[in-house]
Amino acid sequence: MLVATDIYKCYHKKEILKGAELTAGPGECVGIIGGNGCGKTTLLSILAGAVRADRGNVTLDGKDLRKDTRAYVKKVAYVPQENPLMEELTVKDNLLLWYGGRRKELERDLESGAGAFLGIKPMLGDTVEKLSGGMKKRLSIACALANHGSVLILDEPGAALDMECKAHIRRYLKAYTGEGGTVVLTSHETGELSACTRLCALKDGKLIPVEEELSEEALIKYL
Amino acid sequence: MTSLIYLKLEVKRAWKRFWRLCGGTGLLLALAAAAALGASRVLYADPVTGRVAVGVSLPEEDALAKQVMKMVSSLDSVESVCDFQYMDRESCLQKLEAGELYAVLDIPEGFVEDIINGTNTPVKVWLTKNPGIEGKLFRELADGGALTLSASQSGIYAGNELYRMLGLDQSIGEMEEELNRRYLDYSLERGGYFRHMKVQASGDVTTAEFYLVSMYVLFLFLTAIPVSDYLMPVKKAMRQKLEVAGIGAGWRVGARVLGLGTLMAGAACPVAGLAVFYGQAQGGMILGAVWILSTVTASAVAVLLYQLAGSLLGGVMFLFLASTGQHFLAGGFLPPVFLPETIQKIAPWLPSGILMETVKMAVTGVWSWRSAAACAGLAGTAWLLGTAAEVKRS
Repeated sequence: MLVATDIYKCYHKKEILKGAELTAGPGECVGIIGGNGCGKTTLLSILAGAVRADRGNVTLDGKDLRKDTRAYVKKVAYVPQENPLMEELTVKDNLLLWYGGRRKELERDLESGAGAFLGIKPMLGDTVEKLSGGMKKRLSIACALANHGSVLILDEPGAALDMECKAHIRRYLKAYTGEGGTVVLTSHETGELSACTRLCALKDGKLIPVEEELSEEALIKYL
Repeated sequence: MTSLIYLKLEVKRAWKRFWRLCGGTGLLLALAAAAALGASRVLYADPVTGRVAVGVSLPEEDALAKQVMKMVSSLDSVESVCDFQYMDRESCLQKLEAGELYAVLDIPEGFVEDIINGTNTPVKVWLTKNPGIEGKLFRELADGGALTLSASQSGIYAGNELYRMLGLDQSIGEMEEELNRRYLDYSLERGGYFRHMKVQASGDVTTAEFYLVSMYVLFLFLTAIPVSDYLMPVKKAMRQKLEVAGIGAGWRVGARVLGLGTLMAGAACPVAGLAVFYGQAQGGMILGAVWILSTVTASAVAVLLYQLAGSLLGGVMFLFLASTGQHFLAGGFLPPVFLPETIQKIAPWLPSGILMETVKMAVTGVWSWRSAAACAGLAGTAWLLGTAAEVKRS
């Protein structure tokens, strides 16, 4: 269970998060919506352990992010909006980095794990810069899941991808939560948000639950 | 383990750009060489390369005068500048008027005998009305020679007078011989100092070696420009992921220094090989140490500049201006002795100055812990500042 309580974050004297709270359990896919610059990426970075909150607490299965950062981040797979890949190198090189050189584990995942589901194996020898946007995003997810984390955090995973790629990622997220994983994602697209079991809106630095039916008109009032 | 793999992949990323680095650096060096050639032509457009042609008119059948002229023309200071042409007086003067000669020496009858007996019949030196630099140079040479001659003659005449006064006339011949021997002993001994002791603006290396060292250092800095995209600071998403994986700013900057350093070392390898082949550098341990120190330090400085610039264009501009500008101030284009005193004081502390001192060790074959420590210190400082810039960016 991922629990974030009373999260505060300030950037250049501007308070972005003002007591945001989130709970996401196993099998859940929580979608976060909000206007541009409202703090969605900051909140996800804090949940992933990449950025420190000014105040507040984040725990995963009782493990405190602040007290036991190493154990915490080992359980969280984070996919930022921008692909964290070494473009000049091959897909295999990139995977090996995040697998920490554990070749056997990588091969196993490529055969029957996340790598297999995401269709990584056929492009193993390709240079990343030659891949399409969708393939890069799939690779980013595969890299993030190298730690076999129980929580997958994605920042606008479908941005600038074609319909087929989005559908592929959506299918994977369903499979991931189906196996008991927890997903937290941000998005502006209803199609992508349809994969979520629960929606929250980030407004004025706080997360509020979205109760309405999923439609653009309904969501606009939360922005 | 992830840290080591990251290090390996950074080196691999760098080496993907090896041929681009070679091509780009070749082009930049060709441009730099063309600019240097153009500048030297502007500075030294009218070089003094001609020799001074001097006509000599000797009295006929004067074997002694011919012998003396042969001795004079074989002197180092004269031989390196003058070409003597022997002909009759009229031909000499005609050629002088026609501008074919810069000066004419008219040796009188009994010139040598007169020196011996003390009469001192002067040699006539003809110069054109506007003698030019060659004519002036010859006049200075002739004046210098006359002064030397008069000084040595004075010594002998003084000795003669003294011996006559003391009634030792029969020993004058012996005294002159002894005086000549001693005079020559002393003058040759002292002349030796001036002939063998070289004082050079380029310090303890020759001018050619100095410029080879300087060009090598500039070459190292310029190699970073064609691979600018590699030197861009790590992107935010990657940085965050690496931080989460426990790869901090220091390691990231260090990995980049190592990546570019190995790339520079690869590019510098043929340069070092050629220098050893042509005898411009000593091989062995010193060369190896200098090779590693110089490439890693140049790499650390280049990485720091890109960290500070933060953008591709800014990095290219920053590196080009910083490398050429501080290279000039460090005395890479003109030896420091030609630069203003204030700059001379800071020159040894500039990156190019430190690197040049390090590379000189490979040329002279003499290891200097001071130069090596300064070079390692520069690399360490650049890495620390680069890390600070990376932390600030985070």
